[in-house]
Formats: sequence, structure tokens, C-alpha cells
Amino acid sequence: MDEVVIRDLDEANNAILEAATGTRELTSLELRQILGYVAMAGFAPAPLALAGGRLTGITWQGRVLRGSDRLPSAEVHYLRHVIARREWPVGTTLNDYLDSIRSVITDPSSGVLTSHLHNQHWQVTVVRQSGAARGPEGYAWVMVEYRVAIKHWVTAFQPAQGLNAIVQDPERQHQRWLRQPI
Amino acid sequence: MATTADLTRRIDVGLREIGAEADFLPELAAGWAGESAAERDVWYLEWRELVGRLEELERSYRAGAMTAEQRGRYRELLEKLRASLPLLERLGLPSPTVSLVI
Repeated sequence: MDEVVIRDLDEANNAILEAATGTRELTSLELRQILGYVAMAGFAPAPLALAGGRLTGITWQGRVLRGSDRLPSAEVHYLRHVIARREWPVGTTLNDYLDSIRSVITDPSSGVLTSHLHNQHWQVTVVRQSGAARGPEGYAWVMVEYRVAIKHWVTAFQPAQGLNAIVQDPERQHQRWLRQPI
Repeated sequence: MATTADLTRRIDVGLREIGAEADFLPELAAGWAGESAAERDVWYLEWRELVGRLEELERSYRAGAMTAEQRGRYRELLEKLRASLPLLERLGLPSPTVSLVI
């Protein structure tokens, strides 16, 4: 049994910020425990997220969606990336999608990158090869974004341009790999 | 191994999703000030992803992999995106990296 070195999500967030700014080097045990808390954070339950154009016309829970509808963030991302575009295998349920995200975050082969989006907000990006999570319209990598300030995931999808989509984003400043992907 | 049918469907999905979000931009802009910083950043990340997928469509167009109907829809999409450029700039969302004139 590992010793508990990171006690809760707040402590995990503090450690992430210290590692992101180069004032602390995380041990593999610390990183594993931090990612355990991040994996449990989930999407923010509130505020509700705009459905947007991609979900217009999709039937969900008995109603036909309009772009202006608001839904829980987890549902918006599930509908965009699993239902509207089949990035995950056909038949993937909302719970399967959330489980898949958790498994990416806790997988020791995943890469973990911190960056300062728009030079304002620290985010943790966890990436892993999509493997069995790749659906008919999916791509080679899964990317999960966790936002430190709100302590929740903000999106998870399979980027068309792979890791380049992340590391070449000019709005992601102060990038630092806490662990390189395998 | 991807088949022609797979590619045709993939192109269809790409045309639909980018077109649908481009159509939604005016509505998004109308409520933009009321969105949280986190939500606005999610739109940034997701729009940047759509821009990446547009590059895939561009390659399919140039390679002659689109049907005649898809080529027409692609040209209409570029026109729509060209008209949306001021809005994208105002919202701080990434502009398409492919040529919008063909």
C-alpha cells in the first residue's frame, strides 16, 4: 500500500501549480495520487453548458435539441464527441465515456502537460493513445483537459492533429510535461 | 483499413459539424459576455479542434476524395467561414488555417 502524500484535490491543485511553475518536482507517487484526484473531479455540474450548433437537431432524453439549449457539461461533451461525431466506439454510453476519461487520466502510459491558457488559467492536459477508445470517426489520441481554477474537467475529445494540436497551440503558454506520453 | 464509404462518411460529418457551429456563431456571440471564462476557453479549444478538422477536409478536397455534392458543400462552408471571420476575431476564436478562397 502506497503512503498517502497528497491528501485531497486542493492539495493536488497546489502541487500541480508548483510543478507547472517549476518550483516543485513531483515524484511518480505524488503524480499518481494527484491524477487519482483529477480522475475523480469529473465535469463541472454547473453552470450548464450551451449545446451549440453540433447538437442542433439531435434527440436527447426525449427532446430535440436546439443550439441554445443548456445541458450539463458532461452531456454536452458526450453528445458532441460520442454521438454527433463517433470519436468513441458505437454504443459508448455517457457512463462509458466518463469511465474512458477516468482511465486515460489514471493510465501510467498517459502524458501529462501543464500550460497557462491565454496566459490566464492553468490547465492540465492528459493525453493517451486512443487504442480501444477509438471509434469510426476517432483519431489516434485522446485528450482530457482539467482546469485547475474550477477543479473540474472542461473537455475530452480525440484531436484530429494529435499532440501537435496541443503543443503547437500559441495560446498555451509555459508548457511543461510532468510526464511524457508513451 | 478505411473504405471509400468510411471516408465519405467522415467528410460528411466534418462538413456538418463545422457548418453547424459556424451557423451558431451569431447566437454564441450574442451571449458571449454572459459565459464564464472557463466556458469561453472550452469554445476556444473546441473551435481550434474544428479548424484542425477543416484541414483534413481541405486535404480531401485537394485529393479529389469528395463527391461532387460534398465539393459543393465544402465551397459553401468556406464562404460561410469567410463571412464569419470578423465574428471569430471578436470572440477570440481561431481563424481557419486553410485558404478560404478556392
